[in-house]
Amino acid sequence: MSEELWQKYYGKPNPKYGNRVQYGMLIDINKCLGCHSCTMACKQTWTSGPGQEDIYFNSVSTQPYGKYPRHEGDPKDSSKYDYRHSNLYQDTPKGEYPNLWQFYLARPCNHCADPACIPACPTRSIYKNQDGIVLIDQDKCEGFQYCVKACPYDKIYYNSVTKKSQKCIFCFPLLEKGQEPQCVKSCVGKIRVFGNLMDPESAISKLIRDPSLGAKPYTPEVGLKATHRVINPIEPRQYRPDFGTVPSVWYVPPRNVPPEEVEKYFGYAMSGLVEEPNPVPANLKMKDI
Amino acid sequence: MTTSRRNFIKGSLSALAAGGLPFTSGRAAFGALMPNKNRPWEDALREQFIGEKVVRTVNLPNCTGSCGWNVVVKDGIVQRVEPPYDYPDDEYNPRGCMKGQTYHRRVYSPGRVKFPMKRVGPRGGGQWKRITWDEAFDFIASEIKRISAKYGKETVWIYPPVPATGIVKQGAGFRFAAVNGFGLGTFYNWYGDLPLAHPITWNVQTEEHEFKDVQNTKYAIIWGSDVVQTRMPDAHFFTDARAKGVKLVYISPYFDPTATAVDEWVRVRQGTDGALALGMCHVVVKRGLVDEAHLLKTTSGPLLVRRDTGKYLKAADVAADGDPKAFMVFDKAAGKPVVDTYFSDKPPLTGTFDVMLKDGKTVACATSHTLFLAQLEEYDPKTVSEITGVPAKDIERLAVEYASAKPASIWSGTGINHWYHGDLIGRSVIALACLTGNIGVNGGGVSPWAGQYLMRLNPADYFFPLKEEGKPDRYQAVPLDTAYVVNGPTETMANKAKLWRQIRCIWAAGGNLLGEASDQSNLMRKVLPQIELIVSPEIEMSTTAQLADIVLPVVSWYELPMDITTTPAHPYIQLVQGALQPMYEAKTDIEIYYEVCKRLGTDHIFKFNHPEAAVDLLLKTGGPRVKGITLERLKKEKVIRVNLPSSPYAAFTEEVAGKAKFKTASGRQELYKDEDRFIQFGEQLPVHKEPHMATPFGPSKPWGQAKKERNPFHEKYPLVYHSRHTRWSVHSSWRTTSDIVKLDDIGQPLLEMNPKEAAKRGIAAGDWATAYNQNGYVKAKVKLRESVPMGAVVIYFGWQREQIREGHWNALTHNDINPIHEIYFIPNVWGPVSGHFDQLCEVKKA
Repeated sequence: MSEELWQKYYGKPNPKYGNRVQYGMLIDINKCLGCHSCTMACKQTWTSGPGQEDIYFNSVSTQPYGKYPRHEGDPKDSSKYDYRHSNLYQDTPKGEYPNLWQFYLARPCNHCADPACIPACPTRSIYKNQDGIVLIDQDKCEGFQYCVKACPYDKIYYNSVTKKSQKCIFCFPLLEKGQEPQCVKSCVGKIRVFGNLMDPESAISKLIRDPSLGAKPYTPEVGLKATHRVINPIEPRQYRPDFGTVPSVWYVPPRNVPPEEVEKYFGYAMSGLVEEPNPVPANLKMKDI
Repeated sequence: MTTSRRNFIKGSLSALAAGGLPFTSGRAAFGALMPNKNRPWEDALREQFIGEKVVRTVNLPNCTGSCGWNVVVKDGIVQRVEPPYDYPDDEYNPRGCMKGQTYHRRVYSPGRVKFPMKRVGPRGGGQWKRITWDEAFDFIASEIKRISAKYGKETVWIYPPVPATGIVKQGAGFRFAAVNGFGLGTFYNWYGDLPLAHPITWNVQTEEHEFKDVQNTKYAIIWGSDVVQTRMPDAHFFTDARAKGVKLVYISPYFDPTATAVDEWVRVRQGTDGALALGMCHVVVKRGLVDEAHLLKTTSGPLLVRRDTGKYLKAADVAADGDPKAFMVFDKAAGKPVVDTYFSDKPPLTGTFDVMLKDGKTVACATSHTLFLAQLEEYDPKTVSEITGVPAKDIERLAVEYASAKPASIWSGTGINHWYHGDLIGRSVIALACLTGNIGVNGGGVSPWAGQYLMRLNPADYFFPLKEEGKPDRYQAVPLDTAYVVNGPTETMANKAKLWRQIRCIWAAGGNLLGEASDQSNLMRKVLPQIELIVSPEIEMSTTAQLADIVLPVVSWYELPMDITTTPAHPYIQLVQGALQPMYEAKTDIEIYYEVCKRLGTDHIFKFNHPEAAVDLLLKTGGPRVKGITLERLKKEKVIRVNLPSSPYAAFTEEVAGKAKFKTASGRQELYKDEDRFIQFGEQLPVHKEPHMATPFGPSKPWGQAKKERNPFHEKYPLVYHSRHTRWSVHSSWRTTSDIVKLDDIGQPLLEMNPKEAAKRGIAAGDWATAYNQNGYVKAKVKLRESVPMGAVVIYFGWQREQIREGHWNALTHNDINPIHEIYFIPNVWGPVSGHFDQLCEVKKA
């Protein structure tokens, strides 16, 4: 990302919400093992309660065919979203030998700079805190699920037992204890870098501005060894920036995927187009699961 | 740490401080939505961490991970686990995958064995009677006594696999077998993990580089090991190297997860990897990229081989007083053979010479390298392309790339080892590394990293206690390879008269023997009826427990009071310590063995009924690798690097530097072998032989012959059948853990096929289908993906008995034993290596 773009996004406090800190994440897709250690670390910490059986604040699925949740029938009707089998079509590539491609897409909540969920909430239960973390007040939420429909990333879940909407909290209680989020701490592929995007000196913002730093030893942002990673020196991008919410999770796009396909996920080529790319072809569709 | 933590949250704190200031830039349109007031719901999340205690221990599955975990306990219940970030070398932080993340789900599993149980009704019928521990011990002891009296005590067969995973708890099985003179099963070779090419070439069990050494490589070939899926804690060494610009090549028939993480994926026909390696050797030779000094000084290359017998020429052949063990090289100046000196650069590497024997006869002798060069002539890229399906130009290019990058490394995985001719494939790969001088250098090597076989201390005094202090006599168990237990003896079995017996009692501890054994069909039909007692100490009702006569509740790893563990993947010895009190009526393995010994009158020899004293003994008698590592130190530090000659450790550095000889008979890396059986089968040198089963061509034949023939089995069963390791389980461990199974596609066994192959059979995705062959069958739903080539079926394995609709994923496999694997029998070092990838099947819609 150019310096100008960084300035535009992160050089000043959030114009709408005023937060002067924006925690974010950089995920190197090239190094992802698809192991779901992040998913499980998150689940064991936050979503093993009632009604959360199929809720994964952080999910990983094999692109192009893995969708979570899957949209059956009317794609706009969130009551038809299918949250079961969050990792369906794992390791199912697209193309024909020898031109096969797939990649693992790990997705926590994007904690967007301009979230779609906040203005959609009729009870004003959603807020962006001082650290740029988007949270749903579980005391105030009344379960209208407008946020579930509004989030273009499908990262808000309705808990039918507690009757509230729930989502990733970027592990804010752990951040306050000086720890990284569980998905970052547990990432055994060492693909995630976490930090304050608005701090020009943070490892994450330096890496986003100068990708070449990734493959060299760089000074970790903090004493926590966890942040010291090797990252592919490729320009980071956001997943589906065309949704327009300015996500705070950045990705190092996959090298082994045709550029036009990368563009569908991480570029502006699909501007205005909100259908998921690459629907599952009929012959691969799993019947009666 | 305090300062750094403060630095970390600085952003947040400064934001709080600045909270009262008016924002200068932009108008906060939704500012009213973020009032900075107390939010009690947030506190509820903060408070969930209050009152937690952390215990640092290790998970002990057989995946080579040996990953440390901070077990977070609250009110005596495990909440979750977190990576401890305490490996002294930060490159090894963090370790542990999603399986480790969810081990506590197994501790609290609904299938947990809670008390001793005795079978009521037929085996596998699922009817049990709860008994007391005393009843269980008495029953087991009396049955063992009865069986011992009737058939001999060596027919009581203890199977405590992979002791490095928990040296005390698994080693206790060895000790139990030894002090009572029982039989003992082997596993490393039987699993198919032992790369027999290593003992053949180097006379070592297995040698590999430390994982961290991948950082030193300039070019890496990952050959038949789906590292991304099966070596999660260490896979980043490869992906990191790639991020820094090192080229990674993955050779596999399948578009595996690893294929997506490398620069080049090479699809090779199943079981023909040896031919590909020899093809690359051919190119290396023709292009003059051979490291001749390496060959001359450290390999069998210059050693003379008699053309008449195929045997190495020995000093005793040429002189009456010659040493029958001395290998010979040619002295050009003197015009006659002389005794070989290791690391000498004098003798010729190639050439054929007439040598006068002591009886006056003259025989032609060639250096073994000369013979190898002659053999390599057959492996030109065009022919190899025909065999392997890899384009000739790619073979040329890969060979040149590998030979030109110095150092270049090969990860020689089990994918190329689980074959009837896995030893030949392994030897071909090693030959490629030798030709290019990539052995014994950091960043080079041929590393298998398969199976957690490596105990980084000498456990002899614990496993096989001395009969008398200070004397060499030990209590010994009577080994019987698991391959023979499952398949029966062969004509060519080593030491058959002494070792073969029909076993009558199986005690499978810490391994799901009956669930994971290949050749399930034989095992169920022929072997189990012969077994009069099956004892299964288990935490969950595994397949073995379901089929056992007595099931005993053992402690989970989090209840284990103490143990130590090591792995080939990283160089640390780690302390296992209890995070929980034993649950229900669970006991430790060592206590169970002790109690049975008490009833057999051998408890005074067995001695230990608690692991701590055993840990102490192991560390004190463990030899130089653990010198200076005491129990006190381990209790304090939890994870300590063992003493190794180099860091990062690379194999054979001393030998290749000329400071020590290899452990082989010749003191050199033996690319040429002259045991009778190698000669009988024409395998003195690495050669490509078609797979024993999984080939359309003449099975087990060299290409010249094979290509003219057709495999009759292939006509009936045209698909190669592979049941493979998955990321979602360590063998059968975690296969029933719902948190994990839910993430594995649709959470049930799947026959994975190429869409075109399925279409030929009228099968659609999600259809039920049966894969079958002459041995057995398995029924499962079908998943379609292009990752699987035509002519193949993959099933990711480990499913327990009750999870499979019909049949078993291992019912189709059968391991014919390769006579080469029987030349010697050294438990877990030289024995039958499973070739369960060497199998065919057909699939039909169910």
